[in-house]
Amino acid sequence: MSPRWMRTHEFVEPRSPLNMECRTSASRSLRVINICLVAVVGIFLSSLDATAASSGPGLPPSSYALGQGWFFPQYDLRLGGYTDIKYYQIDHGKRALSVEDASLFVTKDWGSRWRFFTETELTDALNSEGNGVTMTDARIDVERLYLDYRLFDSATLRFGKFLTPIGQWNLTHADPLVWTSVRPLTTESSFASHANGAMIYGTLNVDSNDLDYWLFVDDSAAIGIDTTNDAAFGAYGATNKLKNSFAHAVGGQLLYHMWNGHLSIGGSAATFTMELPNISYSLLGLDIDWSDRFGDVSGEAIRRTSHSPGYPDDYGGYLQGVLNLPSRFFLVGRIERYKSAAVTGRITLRTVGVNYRPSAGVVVKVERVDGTNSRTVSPSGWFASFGLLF
Amino acid sequence: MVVAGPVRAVHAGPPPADPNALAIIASQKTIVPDASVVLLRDIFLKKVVLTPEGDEYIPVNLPPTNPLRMAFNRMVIHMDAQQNELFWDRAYFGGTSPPYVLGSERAVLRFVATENAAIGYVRACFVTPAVKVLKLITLDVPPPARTLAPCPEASGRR
Repeated sequence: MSPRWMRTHEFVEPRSPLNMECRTSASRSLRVINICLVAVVGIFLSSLDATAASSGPGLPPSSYALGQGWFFPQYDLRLGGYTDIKYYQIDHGKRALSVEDASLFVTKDWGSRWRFFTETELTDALNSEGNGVTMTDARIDVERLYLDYRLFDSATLRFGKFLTPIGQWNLTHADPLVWTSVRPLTTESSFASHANGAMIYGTLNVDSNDLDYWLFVDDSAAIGIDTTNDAAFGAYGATNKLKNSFAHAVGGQLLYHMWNGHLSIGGSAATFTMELPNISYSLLGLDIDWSDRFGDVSGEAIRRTSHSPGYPDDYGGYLQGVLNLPSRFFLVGRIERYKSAAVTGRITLRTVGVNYRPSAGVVVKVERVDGTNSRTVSPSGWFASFGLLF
Repeated sequence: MVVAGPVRAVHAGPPPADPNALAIIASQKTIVPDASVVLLRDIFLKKVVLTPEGDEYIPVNLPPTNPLRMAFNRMVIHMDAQQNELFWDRAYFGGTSPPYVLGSERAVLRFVATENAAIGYVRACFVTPAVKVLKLITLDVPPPARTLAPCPEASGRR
């Protein structure tokens, strides 16, 4: 997820109400957004042309379902997205209401092998800290922008900007899809959430079970698209503004599903150089998820080893439990321990919350976070959100 | 309980013993190399997308509240409705669209019969020679009769 409202207050450059972020220059930002807009418009127009030759499968001309977007089978085009509204009350600190994300997905398929996908996000669209509503932090981020080519069923090539395949949370981090409003440090603090480059991924059948794999190579230093939106500490109220953007990276993940998909165990590995400070690291991660009709237990652990003297390692992990309650309510609890080079002492975060998911794609969350040594990176407080996948 | 083994697709033959068994059907032209539950599950979860000819499988579902959809989720997908919902929310976020949803068994039958590489499921009593049966599955819990349309023989329609 993008860094949130707090970090934008510390940017030195003046920001327009709708400001396209860019790592190097404003002209580069404009170039990227122009490319996006031209691509989207081009895709849509080519879709319209294509319908003259092919009307697609014999399905209704278009359909909409909450949580599944608006699908136009004639064009093999799907429009959708998600949005979330958040309220937070930091202990002994500020409270605020924020329309944090308004993301638009465009998915366009060409035949059975090519797919274009983009997620463009209006971030921090509206903020209220008790003295009126402001839009001064609003900006447009290109969260994802890639082209997929399916080589065969078990291997797809991806080019562009995509979510870094380390752990499971980062791959499904949208507010309506996760169990808490506050993200565990383990899932974002030690690597960049996004990568720019190429990836091969797919699913292999091993002993009648699925083995998902991802292998990626990043060259953000050369081709980075809108890379400033990866904060090391994106929690609400975090005052540490460290950025996590790759300069170069290579890595991957394996995820093995068993017990009819009810248990998944994964491992991640990567070696990378961060953009600022320019330090090389290697990373190992583990993740596990068990789900049943009673609930879900999941966890991730990570260790980032520094290859530069004077920069200590980061390591930590979390364990989270979700208990299904009647009437689509869920009780959520999580404990996390994390050691960051950016913080003195070991961080402990204890989270207890409730989710209400009245229908597909809709979630209301309320949670309480209590932290030790976490004030600058994930402060204690009350957090609530309304998320909508549309 | 699965009553047909993981074998090649078979044509609809004589009426099955249990007209309420769940028939996984495809168009006569569709080639499914191995109609195992694992492959069917992967096709409906869109983990397997391409037919041996390189076409795209088109799995079609019944509406989420349809008892046959719930039985299919339970016996083939191995997820309950809530887990299935969360799976597709996450897949949608990743750019993968869920299977089409058609409103009735008749609609599924018509669609599958005419679309190459389409795969769906209906009760065995709905099967016609226009489609082939990939697999027959005896339902673990028979759906309440009042929640489903009557079999064509019972209503005199096909």
